[in-house]
Amino acid sequence: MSNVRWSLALFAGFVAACGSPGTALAPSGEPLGEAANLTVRPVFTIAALLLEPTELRGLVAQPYSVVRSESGEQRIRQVLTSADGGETLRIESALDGSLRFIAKSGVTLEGGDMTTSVAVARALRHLVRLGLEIPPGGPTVSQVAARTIVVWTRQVRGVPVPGDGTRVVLNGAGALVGLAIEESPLAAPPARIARADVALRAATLLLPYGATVEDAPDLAWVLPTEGAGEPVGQRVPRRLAWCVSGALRDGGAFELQLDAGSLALLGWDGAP
Amino acid sequence: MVGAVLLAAAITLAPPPDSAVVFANRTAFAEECTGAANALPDRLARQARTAFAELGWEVGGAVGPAFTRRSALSSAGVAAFYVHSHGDLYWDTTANSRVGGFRADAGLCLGAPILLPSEIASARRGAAAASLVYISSCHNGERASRLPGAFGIAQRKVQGGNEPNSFYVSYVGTAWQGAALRFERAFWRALLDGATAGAAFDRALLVTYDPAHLSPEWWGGYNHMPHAPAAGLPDLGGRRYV
Repeated sequence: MSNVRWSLALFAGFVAACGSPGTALAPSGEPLGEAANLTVRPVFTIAALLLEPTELRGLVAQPYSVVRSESGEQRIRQVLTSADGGETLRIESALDGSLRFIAKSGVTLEGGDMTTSVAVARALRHLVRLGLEIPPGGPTVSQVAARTIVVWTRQVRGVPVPGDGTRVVLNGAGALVGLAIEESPLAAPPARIARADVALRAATLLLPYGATVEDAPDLAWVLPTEGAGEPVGQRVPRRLAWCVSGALRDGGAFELQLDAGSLALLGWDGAP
Repeated sequence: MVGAVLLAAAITLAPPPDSAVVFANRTAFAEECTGAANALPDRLARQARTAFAELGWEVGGAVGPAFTRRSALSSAGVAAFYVHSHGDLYWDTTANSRVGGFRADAGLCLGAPILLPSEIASARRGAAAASLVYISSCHNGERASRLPGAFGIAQRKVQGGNEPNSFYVSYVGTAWQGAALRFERAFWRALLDGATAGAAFDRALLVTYDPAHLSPEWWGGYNHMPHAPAAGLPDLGGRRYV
């Protein structure tokens, strides 16, 4: 009971903090709260879609918390724990109520031999069951440590936004391990985009002796990391950049990210 | 000769059971070597140090030129080990095969000394299997790398029943630092939230790194909680991850 009271207080506080008029919270079993167009799906509703009825028995909803995602988006986090305190399910919703993140704990390491098409089909089935939007475009599929990751990378005007999009993690049998949906803010594109060959020359000037660059830089929306380092939990807009890849004298791969307009250095990445 | 004696003496000093080390190669990624300022090794090391300390470990190690072959071997007997550096399936002449390993910093852009699995195994002789080993480098997550074995960790994933009290993480193929930063940050956060090592790894797979830039791998016990023995489990107010 105290949990419920705490949750409601937190939720009411959260709504107030958003500067919206508070309205009555919906009764249990309905959307947890509806205020100023805000609807949060209760964690038990999601759990019913993901867990067997026997697995649902004895689960306890923890008080909500308001958190920020890695890209700084404000979210409402709900957690279900089992009777012994173990976390079973975590979900996060954006302020508009849309589901952004699901993580199930302890999903079995079942072996399996899912083909790419089966993995995509399973991922799509999970998205549909959860009422989530089917992302546009074709996903990439990778096998990682007995898990399969299906990623639809967000594209804006044909330019990828690396890290943004929809990501579904499955076990070897296609069961859902988790999903994450990320959408970062984007800065206005530069009025004039520098030519690729000019970007390549600018990158070459920054490199040490012996480094080589690939001929064709790519455009991408990147998080500026030069100077202050990668911002965490802040809503920093991504900028349109020319990404120039190459190899250092010792063969180590690198990528330079240059502002697509000014060609100022936005970031650097390397591979040890 | 004197150097060899000192090295031998250093590597026979057993670290205390609650000790951990964090090493990171700064020089090879520094501006004078790559042409661009790169704070990622320091940030990766800082994340690992903070996590180890909060998990109850006494943290030593070195970042930058003080990360030498000698300093790494002398502390290889610890229970929790993190390194960020160049890694590859380096050739071991004694084994006559490619075996994995990583480079020290030693203040060198190129050609820094390599630490091979067999050398780490020798330095750890008599030590129990490590609790947590994180090799943040290219290639040491591949089956051909013998680093897990050097730390006493078998290359198998165990979930439920007879799980080893060990967890090893590294990367398959080429690992980009930007992606590693995001993955590792999520892994440490989940561990500090009370997740088991396997659940923390699963959680980290959900962060926004590009799978083409990073392919993490793990071996050990899925439900292992890599806290220092004296620290006990964190107080999560009755909550923990499975």
